[in-house]
Amino acid sequence: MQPTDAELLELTRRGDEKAFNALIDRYGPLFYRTAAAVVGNNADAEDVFQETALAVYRGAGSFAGRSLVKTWLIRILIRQASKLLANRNREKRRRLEAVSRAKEYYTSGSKAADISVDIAGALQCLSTEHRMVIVLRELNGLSYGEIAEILNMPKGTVESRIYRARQELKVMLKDYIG
Amino acid sequence: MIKCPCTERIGTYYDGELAASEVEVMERHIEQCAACAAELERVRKLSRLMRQSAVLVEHETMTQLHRRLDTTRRNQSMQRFAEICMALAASVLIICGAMLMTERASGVNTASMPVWESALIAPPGEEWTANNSEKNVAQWIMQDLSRNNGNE
Repeated sequence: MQPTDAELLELTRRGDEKAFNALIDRYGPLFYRTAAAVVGNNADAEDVFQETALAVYRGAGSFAGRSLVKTWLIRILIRQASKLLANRNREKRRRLEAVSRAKEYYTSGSKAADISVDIAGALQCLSTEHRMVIVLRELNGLSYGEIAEILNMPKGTVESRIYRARQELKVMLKDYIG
Repeated sequence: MIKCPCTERIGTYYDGELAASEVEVMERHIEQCAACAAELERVRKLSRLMRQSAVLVEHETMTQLHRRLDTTRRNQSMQRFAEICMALAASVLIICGAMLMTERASGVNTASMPVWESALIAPPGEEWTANNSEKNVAQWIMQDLSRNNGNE
């Protein structure tokens, strides 16, 4: 039988390398996908993944068991992603670039064949607040309550941000959605 | 199509986040409201698109990420080991320095010190001006040198 997340985390706390690797194997793809959607490029996503994994290894003992391990892990990931965006002061520049690219793209009439590129581009046009909630909801399948816990905000704020994020995405992706 | 105020809650309904008492009301409403039915379809399409387009994390990517993580953790362990060694070395230096100062303060070594050295490091005072004149110091140096040459 597969060990539970909590068991793997407890073993990691005791310095069990195999348990740590098993935990990373289990959540690595989800971490990476989420990080890529939030920070917008693979290089930064790798950095966020790395920092998250190291933080999990170092901080395994600080898990208090008040939430699910998955929620706790994603909270660390979101904190690392936010730190990266804030520390490198990339957010403003990246958004300006993304918005300018998007404006040019959505008004040019020529659409790339790759739908993933379009969606990734549209996601990057959102503000960080809107992007995070929609990524946590759509890519990680988290409930509003879990998102509220991770981002430390009221559930009502999560709901309104998801609504606004969807409104913006629907405009940018109207060719696919109708 | 007339805009319906309920469209704002369609996403919440789709996400399964409406209260149980609201769900039935909303379902009945959607059956009768074309605007809300269309909004639900758009939210559903958007959701499907986003899930489909999520970055595919291939096995190779995960292997690379694992490798990078292992290297970083190894380097950090080495760095921590080096820091511990440096801390130990610093502690040894501090302890040795403290022992040396204690010995000096208790006068253990000053007895074997040449007289002129003791006189030179002694704090200046009346005694210095009276007895430790340059002439006396020169004489003490000569005496010490003579002792070291085995003349005494």
